[in-house]
Amino acid sequence: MKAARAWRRLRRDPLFWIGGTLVLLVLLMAALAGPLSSHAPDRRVTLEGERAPVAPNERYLLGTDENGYDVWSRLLHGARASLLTGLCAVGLALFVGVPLGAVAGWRGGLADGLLMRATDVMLAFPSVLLAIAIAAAAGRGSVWTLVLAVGVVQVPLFMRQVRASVMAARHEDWVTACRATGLSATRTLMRHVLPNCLAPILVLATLGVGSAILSAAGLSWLGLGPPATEPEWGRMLEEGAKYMREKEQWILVPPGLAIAATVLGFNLLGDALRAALDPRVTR
Amino acid sequence: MSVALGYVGKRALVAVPLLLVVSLACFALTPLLPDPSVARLGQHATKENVAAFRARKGLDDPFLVRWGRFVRDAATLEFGEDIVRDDGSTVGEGIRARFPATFELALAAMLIAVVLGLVAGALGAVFPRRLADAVAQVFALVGASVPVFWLGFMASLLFAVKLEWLPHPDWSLRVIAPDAGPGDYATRFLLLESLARFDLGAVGRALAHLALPALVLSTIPLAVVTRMTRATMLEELGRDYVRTARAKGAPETRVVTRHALRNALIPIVTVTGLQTGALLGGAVLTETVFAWPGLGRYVAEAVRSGNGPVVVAGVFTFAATFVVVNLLVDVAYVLADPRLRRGAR
Repeated sequence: MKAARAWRRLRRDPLFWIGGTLVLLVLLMAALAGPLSSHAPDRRVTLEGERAPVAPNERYLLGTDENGYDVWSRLLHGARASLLTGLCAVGLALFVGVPLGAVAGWRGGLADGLLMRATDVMLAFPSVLLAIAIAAAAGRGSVWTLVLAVGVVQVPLFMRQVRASVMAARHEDWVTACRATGLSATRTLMRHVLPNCLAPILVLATLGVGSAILSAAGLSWLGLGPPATEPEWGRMLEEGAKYMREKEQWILVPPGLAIAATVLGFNLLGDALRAALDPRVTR
Repeated sequence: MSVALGYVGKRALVAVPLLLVVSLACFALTPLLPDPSVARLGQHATKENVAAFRARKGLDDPFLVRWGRFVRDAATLEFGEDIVRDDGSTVGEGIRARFPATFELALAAMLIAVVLGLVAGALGAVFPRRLADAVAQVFALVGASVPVFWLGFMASLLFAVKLEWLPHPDWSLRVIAPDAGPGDYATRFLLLESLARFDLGAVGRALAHLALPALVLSTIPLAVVTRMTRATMLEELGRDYVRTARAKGAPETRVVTRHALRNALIPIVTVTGLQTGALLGGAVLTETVFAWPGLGRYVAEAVRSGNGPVVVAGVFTFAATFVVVNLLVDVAYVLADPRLRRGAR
């Protein structure tokens, strides 16, 4: 019933369609990276006699970078890395944040106080810096470093949201009814209260994917992500940065646009979901 | 007034334990970061040399002892000896030398974001669902989605290289105030000190060099400030006192700016304060793009060179700044809004 009403609102929202299209495009890029790319993404593909960086031509759709790697193929494969990072980071934040937030909101008291002070402290760190420190601690190396760094930073956001929703639900009549029928506290929480808090979690998760992709690109650009051979958008920008003042901008423009479009897509989608799921939001 | 002062004191007292916990959290990063003895002695140092170095610098003391030392050193803003450089300099010297550049950059970015965000958000609330509203919202959203470091490249390419409207940012004394005497600008606040000296040439140069990085960095808080302003203003404009003001014939601009906006300011200011964290984090990326001699780039470089103590001290400085800014925000609106004083006790 609620879902049907939300869908009716969502359907009429142009921002939902724009965001959805952008996200779908990136998903397609990631899924079809193999067939669509013209060259291997992780090694030198220029022929002998070609001087890298090669400008875009019929052989290299978006040209090559200074190592002779094909930009178009790297761009397609980079979509995989970005989506993987964004989705896994949010998955990590959900996995840790939802149970902790639920316990804090449900039990209250000392557990709640301790957990909330912990989120206070975590939120006092600028998230990029915290992520940098975690990435540095985890050692440079892979996409998983990025997932860990970016995911941990989002944990307190989910804790707070879930806690607030659970606290609001705790004193509702239907929760009392659940308890009165003899359901255990755990079962009431898991089967009835948490599913009711799904809407705000969904919104936060969608927006979280966008911000995770953005932060991960920043870390990768600082050199804390995967090695240079791996196709990753932030890393491609780092390579391209050397050509900032010269004319070889085909190296620098595509990955930046790709990151911006992906993040914008998830942000629009999250906003549209929020507007559809929460009737109080006026837009 | 005494109630307000009491509140200020209470808030400041709460900040002390919070800062202690923050320092503990920062310091807890230490064992995770690369061993500073490697950065100092190199990969191939013998075990004996490493052990002797660690013993000399107290790196093997118990955790609580080292944390206590960190808190003591942080309180004096010296942050102890820079054991990676190992030339008698302290970590605090490096941090104090770079903090002003970050402070001025962040302040300028925040001012731009607040002014643009207030105007765009208020316009959006006064004319909801019209063209100006849509443009402002889309602009803010796109700004929040573009990677700030890439935006930095593109903006400097366009404005500094192609159009040559602005200089390529170079935040050094030699460029901003070439004829400064020895001892001038010892504070390293290039913009604020040139303002205080009323050196108009230096002020102009400082503003020109600050413009690009500050505009780029301002895109991070801009979206949030715009949306918060729009949402609160929409709410306030629907209230009875606004109808009353209109009914008694107050001109619409006055109703919007003097009545509704003033009441909407509190949530806006709160959100703005909380955005300082994101802003300072974004400063790391922006400073790296523009080779800005600030704290963010210093910390990023320390991460790369494996200078753990500088990373810990730098992260703590950022986090402490965030805590202090939000303390000031809390205090500011209790002083500004008489209604909050009653509840503040």
